[in-house]
Amino acid sequence: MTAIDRRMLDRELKKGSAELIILSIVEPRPRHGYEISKLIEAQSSGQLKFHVASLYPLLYRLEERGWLHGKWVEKPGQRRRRFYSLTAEGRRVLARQRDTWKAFVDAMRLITGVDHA
Amino acid sequence: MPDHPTSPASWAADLRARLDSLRLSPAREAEIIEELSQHLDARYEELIATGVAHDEARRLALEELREPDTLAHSMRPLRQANVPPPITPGMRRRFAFADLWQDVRYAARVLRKQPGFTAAAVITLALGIGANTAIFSLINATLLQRLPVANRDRLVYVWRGNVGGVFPYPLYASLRDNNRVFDGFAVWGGITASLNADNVTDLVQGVIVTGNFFETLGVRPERGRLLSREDEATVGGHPVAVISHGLWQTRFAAQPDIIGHDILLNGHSFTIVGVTPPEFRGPQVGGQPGLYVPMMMQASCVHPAQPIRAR
Repeated sequence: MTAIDRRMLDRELKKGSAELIILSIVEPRPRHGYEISKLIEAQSSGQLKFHVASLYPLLYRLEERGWLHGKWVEKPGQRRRRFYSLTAEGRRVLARQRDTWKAFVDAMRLITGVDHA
Repeated sequence: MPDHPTSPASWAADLRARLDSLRLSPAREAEIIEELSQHLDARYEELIATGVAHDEARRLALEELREPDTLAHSMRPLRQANVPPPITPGMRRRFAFADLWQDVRYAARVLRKQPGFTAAAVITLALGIGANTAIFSLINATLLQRLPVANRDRLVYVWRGNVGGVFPYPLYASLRDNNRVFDGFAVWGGITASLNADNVTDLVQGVIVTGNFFETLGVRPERGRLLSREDEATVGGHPVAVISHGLWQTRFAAQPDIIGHDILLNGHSFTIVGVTPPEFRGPQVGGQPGLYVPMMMQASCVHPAQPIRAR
């Protein structure tokens, strides 16, 4: 895959799925912003990358919607860090978005004939 | 030697420049700078660990912020990026309505946090407003409102003895005949009578009046005629009544042929001879008598013990 293809894939995949990605990443436990960005990059095998300028505004938006809860956590000998956790409303939204995404992927698979490897 | 980027201050200038166009609260801006600085620190250290030089690591870390306006552009739709500027006492207000809304929200928050104070304030206000309304209603009825009659500046109430004291009819007749002070001297008394018309009976408030009552007040009829001195000639000899505009409208459905209509008052037959104009609501402010009967018909309309006032 060329660099241009990768950038296009990155941009297109993020459209409409960024919220689902973030909510899924913080579902198991609270995480801070840098950890979220690294997990996205790692779990997508480097296909997806959220920069500071896009990741944090998205986190703040989800927080304003009440889907995420941000909290500063202080540990001895370390700088405090802001951890994001899923709220009850966020958990409901995540379940709905997963269903929608699954239906979309199934439809795409039927139309394009592309199947999971 | 450049700043070592592992302290938040080293990224602060870059971040502040990118957030400057937003209307963040100072505290929120400081939080965001702290949080994003940590991210840039981590990225920087990651690059250093892979052998990238300090300056190059810093440049690559700052690439996380993309174009200079990318961060502000992404954050601009957020509520936290549109905080109204703080209100500074003495400063001229630029956004009066925005400030007002801010004041209202602040007041609501304070009241919500102090339910006891809020309840006390609401009760105090309710009692204060209620008391003021009652007092104003009294003052309005007694001092401000005036009778819609002719020459009302020259009207005086006359009582016998204490306020509200009544006149026996012979005393009234004596005052009337020997009056050298007033242009006219009319008397009325309140009645409550059983009104039967068209086989329907109602209890109505009315007044019995002397023949010069309407003349003294300068009232003109809306329909028919009003009571006159001719209706005061013979005791029990004038079974006529004038009804108010309100009673004509509500009880008689504004019948155009109301004049000459026969009614029963307390079982005695009377004939309606006139209708008062809508603006005239009786001899006292706040009162709304429905009918007017000659004083000479007192025996048919009123218990002898009911008081009679003069003016």
